[in-house]
Amino acid sequence: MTKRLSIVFLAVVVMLAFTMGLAAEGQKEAQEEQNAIDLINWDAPKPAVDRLTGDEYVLPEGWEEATEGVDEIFYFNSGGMGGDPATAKNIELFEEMTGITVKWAEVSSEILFQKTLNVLVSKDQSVHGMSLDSGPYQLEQIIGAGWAEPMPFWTDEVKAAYPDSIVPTLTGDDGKGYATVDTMRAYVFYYRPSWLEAAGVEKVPETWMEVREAAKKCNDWAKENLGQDYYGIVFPAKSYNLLHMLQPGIYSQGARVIQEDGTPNYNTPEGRNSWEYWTGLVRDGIAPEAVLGWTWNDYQNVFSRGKSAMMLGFTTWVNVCADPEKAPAMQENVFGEPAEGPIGKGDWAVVQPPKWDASEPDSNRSAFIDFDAFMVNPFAEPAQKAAMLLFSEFRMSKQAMANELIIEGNEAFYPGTYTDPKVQEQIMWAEPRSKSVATTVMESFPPGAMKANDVLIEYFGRAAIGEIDPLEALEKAQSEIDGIYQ
Amino acid sequence: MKMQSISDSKFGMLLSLPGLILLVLWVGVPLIILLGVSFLKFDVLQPIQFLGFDNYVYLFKDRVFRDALFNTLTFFAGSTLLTFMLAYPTAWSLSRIRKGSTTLRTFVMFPWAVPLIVSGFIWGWMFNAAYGVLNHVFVSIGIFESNVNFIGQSSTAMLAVIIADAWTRVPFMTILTLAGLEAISGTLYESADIDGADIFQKTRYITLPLAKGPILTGLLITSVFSFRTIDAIFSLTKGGPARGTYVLGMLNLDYIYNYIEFGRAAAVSVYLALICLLIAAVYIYFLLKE
Repeated sequence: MTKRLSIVFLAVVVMLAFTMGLAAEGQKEAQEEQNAIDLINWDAPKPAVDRLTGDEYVLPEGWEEATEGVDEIFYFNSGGMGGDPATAKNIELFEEMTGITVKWAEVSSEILFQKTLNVLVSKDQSVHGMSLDSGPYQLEQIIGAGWAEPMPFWTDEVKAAYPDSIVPTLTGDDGKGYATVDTMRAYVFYYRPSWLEAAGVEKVPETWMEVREAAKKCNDWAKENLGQDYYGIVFPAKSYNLLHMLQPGIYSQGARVIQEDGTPNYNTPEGRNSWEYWTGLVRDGIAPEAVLGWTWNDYQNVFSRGKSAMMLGFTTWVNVCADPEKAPAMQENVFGEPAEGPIGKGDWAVVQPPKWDASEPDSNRSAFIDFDAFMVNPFAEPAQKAAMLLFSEFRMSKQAMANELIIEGNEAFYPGTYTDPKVQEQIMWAEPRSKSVATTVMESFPPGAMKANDVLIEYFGRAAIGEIDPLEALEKAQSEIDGIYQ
Repeated sequence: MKMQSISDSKFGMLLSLPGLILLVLWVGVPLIILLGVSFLKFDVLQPIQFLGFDNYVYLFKDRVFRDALFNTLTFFAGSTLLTFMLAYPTAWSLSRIRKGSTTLRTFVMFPWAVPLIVSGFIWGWMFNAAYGVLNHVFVSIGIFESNVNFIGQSSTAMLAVIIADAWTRVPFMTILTLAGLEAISGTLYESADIDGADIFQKTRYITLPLAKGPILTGLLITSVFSFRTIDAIFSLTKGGPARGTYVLGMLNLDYIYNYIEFGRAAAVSVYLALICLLIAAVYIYFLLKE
């Protein structure tokens, strides 16, 4: 019996020693590979900021050693690549430069975060990078959880070259950069000149107060002359995009949502104004109740199908409106006649987002800026992480951003892109777009923001359909939001 | 060599052993882990803490949880009832049709092949207030004066998701009901005809009692599935408007993927599992009663 026990004991000890040896060996290999990432000198052959902001991106020294043996990297793309021609172009350029093939999975924005979370929780190594929709609301939690690889190219000089409004959102408490921008969309104000004229609106609205007046006139005129499914103004109130309407209402009065203690507060005088404004548009029938079921794609499609007189929409939508195949109704005026707009064909135009009222300075013509973040999976193999870091860096370069701006109509994360005359002559509505980007406001939301957003969306809906008084709804919503952060 | 004999009962148990082991590994172990996680504060930002029953108490007091529970019960009752109301007459008709029955039965099965999430999108387009075909038809024939925003109003959104969900469940319920109906001897109906029974009496005294087994089995499966699945709701309304179609499954999904609070998500799952077990117990009681 003793002999048998001794044999079992010995076998267990040998197995344990073997397993621990393997683990130690694995750790040693990982360490060696981790050191391989450090082979990249991000400030050579010239400083990172110069490599990034030149007309042509320059790869950093040591990239070949760091990515030795990597033939392919793989990431989650937000949505279909068919809708991302600039990303496809940038992938092509990166592949030409490095010889590393970039593969992707087209993940619908509806499930992108779920898929990403699954990869991170399971420490899956097969996905090396991922886009993160609604970056402003989720990035802080992802970074806090240690689920994003630090990006060493975010030097102080590089941070200084990119927008102050966005860089802090991409940065952790330790000062390191953990993400870059995949795509960026500012907001501009769209309107249909012929509709405004037909409805008796004499000038293009410059304040939210004027927008309401104009939208009401356009709505009333449309109901009599066009049909019941034509609206004065449309917006999204189904998802967190509702916040992209409420927040400009607040910013245009010079206020902010995030308070000194880092938590969001919508129940401020400015917040109450904005809340009453947007709920009022539905309650008074100027915008349809259908907005409660619309997300970013729906309401902008309603506009580009010619069913709404105005909207606060993504800058990217100019490409849709200008396309006769995607938006045939925009190429005609409200009477169905071919139209010439202020710029080229089509009965639509774009101005900077409105300010709250005439008393506000023009610098308050501010809207929110939405971006998808791009991050590297910290659990991937180090050599593949290095390759994905290079890809991330390239995508925020001026060269890649010019493609985003020209080919796809996304805004440029690198502001210097706008001042390049070659770029300027290739984009539509450059002036209101660059002005809008300049006055845009970005706030970084603390963990729990998604829960707070859901509370707001629910109470907004209840107030908009008249189930509850708007200010009572806001008070209840804020009280529940405060509960989240207690 | 002399073969040792083994009883049928023991042999049967031995044969089911691999399945039992798989069941324990794939269902039992995750359930135990789920139960364990439900007692934790687990949000990946702070160290994991043992909370006892705090997550359960929190949910019980939470307005959103209570509203979601109410919506879940409404959705489950509506979907099950509508499924049965559509499946029963369909099955009854199919059982009476002789010519072309195979083709018709195949057609009836089509919606079953459609994933629920796709069903949600299909119905979403049909219900769309601006360009949906249903509004077009109803306005054209004069039932509605103007377009109705089915999925943008709390009052009609629940009905819309029930329809989208039931549409894919009807075929399965139809087939089970049809199996029950076809097992009933035609002579019973002939006798009832001689006695002067009308269609309702035949349904009440012959069809329902004799087809009870398959029908209850179908109802059990339909109920439990409609209770826990959220696909159609996710693609159609995402729980809105104003959380009017927000069910426990959506709350669970939000706790996992939007709020990243795994402890509370696990507690929601345990509540869901307990309610499903309760529903199943009621059906099984009636199934085994006689």
